[in-house]
Amino acid sequence: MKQMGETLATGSIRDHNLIHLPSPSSRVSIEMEDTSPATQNCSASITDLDMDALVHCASYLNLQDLSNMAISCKYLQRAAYSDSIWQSLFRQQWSPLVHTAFSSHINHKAYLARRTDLLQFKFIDPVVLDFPTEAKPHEICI
Amino acid sequence: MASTTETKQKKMLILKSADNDEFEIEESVGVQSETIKNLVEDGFTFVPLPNVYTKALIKIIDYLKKHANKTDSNDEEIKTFDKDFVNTTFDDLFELVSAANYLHISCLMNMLCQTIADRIKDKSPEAVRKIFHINCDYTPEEEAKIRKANAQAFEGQFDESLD
Repeated sequence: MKQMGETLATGSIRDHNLIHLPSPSSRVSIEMEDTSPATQNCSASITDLDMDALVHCASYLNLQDLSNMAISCKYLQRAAYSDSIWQSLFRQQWSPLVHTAFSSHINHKAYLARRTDLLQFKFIDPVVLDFPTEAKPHEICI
Repeated sequence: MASTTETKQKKMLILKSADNDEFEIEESVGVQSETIKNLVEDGFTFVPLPNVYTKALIKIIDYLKKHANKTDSNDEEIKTFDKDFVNTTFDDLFELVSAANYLHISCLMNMLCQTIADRIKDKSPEAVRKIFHINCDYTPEEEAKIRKANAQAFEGQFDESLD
């Protein structure tokens, strides 16, 4: 137990020789109102969120919402433009047609460029030329 | 209220919050967190959580307890619990996200992030700023540039309301 405290909570080891095990019934009763002045003064903001967590949130959004998120401020833009999001959007939209390995090179710019090309029916991309002939292009790209 | 004998039968863990409060929970409840599970597998029963404050930890323990007893029959009850759980202020949501992220509780993380994403969904950039009290840190030139780059997102009408 002691070793554990030292490895993980070096900042708060002062009382761990005195640990008394609270029984479940006497579980520390803390008022739900936060009374510590430190947390009261700086209320949490979305820009305090960890980038990983913010990217996780952004992964539930579609193209339009991601664009709006990116425009709102720089920190949210970093999350909205994260490569993993665009790779998964890419796979969702084009994976049956494109080799999976290809999508690992996709980022925000590449995704939008490809989308624009497809919307304008610019089938210059060799991968796109491999579209199965029976597929209707307008269904695939939009 | 567990008696001493019960405590001995069930393996218990002690979680210590960043503000030094200690909570005793059953091991089976705690191991829903990957972080705690890894420590338990290494033989620890005392788990200091220097990144998780008491306020968030209380809520998370409630959540873990509820979800540890998941059966087919209480499915509805858990759904209601989850709905109430995320129906809270952004301050609480963000704190819970940080805690769930640190503790690696993926089902909770998915639920919280979906809740935040739902508040961004279909909103204009201006509404997103207001909803989350964000100061736009773009210069007018930068903003014009990024709006242009994202022009294809402006095909529809956005919800300007803040709810």
